[in-house]
Amino acid sequence: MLTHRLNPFVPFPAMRRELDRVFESVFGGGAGNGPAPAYPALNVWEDGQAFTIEAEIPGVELSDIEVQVAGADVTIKGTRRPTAEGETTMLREERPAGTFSRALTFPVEIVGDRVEATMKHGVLTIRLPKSPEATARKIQIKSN
Amino acid sequence: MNPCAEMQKSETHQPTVERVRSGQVYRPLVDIIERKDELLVIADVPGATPDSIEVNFERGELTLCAVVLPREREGQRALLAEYGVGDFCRTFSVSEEIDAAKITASYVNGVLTLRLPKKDSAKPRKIAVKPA
Repeated sequence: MLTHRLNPFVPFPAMRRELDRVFESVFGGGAGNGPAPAYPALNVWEDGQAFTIEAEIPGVELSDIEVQVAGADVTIKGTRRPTAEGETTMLREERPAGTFSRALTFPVEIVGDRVEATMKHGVLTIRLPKSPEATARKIQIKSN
Repeated sequence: MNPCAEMQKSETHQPTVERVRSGQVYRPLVDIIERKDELLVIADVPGATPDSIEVNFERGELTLCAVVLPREREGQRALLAEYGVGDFCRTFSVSEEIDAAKITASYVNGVLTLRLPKKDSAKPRKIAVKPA
């Protein structure tokens, strides 16, 4: 059981801020700021051959991440374990934990069996090759 | 009092290493755990390397900074940009008595873990009551 250590002598506004902060850290967004942002945040790039997805997921091993590809749909799933399991006194708890899932639909199909994922210093990079049909559409015209 | 309160003026704090490039500086997300004999600061600093991280503890102020170089995507077109990449920096004021010489830091999978052992004088101790 995690308990936040709240000073019983702090005046109410400070305690309220502390509570807001707790809720922010649990739900990933401030109260009244609309839905919590999706986790993890994604950056996506494209070149002629492939799409590249990048996400910062520190503390998670590549083996704990699942990438599913179905046609042009890509889903990234995983679990971020709380580091503080079994601890009694958490003074701050901002790092998100729990299961996460993001889904993206690309404009063209992905070659599912050629998808490559790497994890380095907490940064996940997934390269998703476009299907040959999609890349073949771009015809180069040479002038003589 | 929270023994590891955030510095109010963290925005104005400058790392001891002079910045020679411009760019965004982000506040790393942290978990702070207090144990009987130590404080544990766990910070998310993805994209850093062990030698790009600087940890300082001076006069009760703990500062952690990490330089994160932009990840170049040459010849690629951005389709979605939900987060920015840049350095991390954050300062805490630690009121607990810390044995500064015994602070250790490790960096695994983008997570920086700092162990701040309490000084013996700050550790809780049991006083045995002897019968008269």
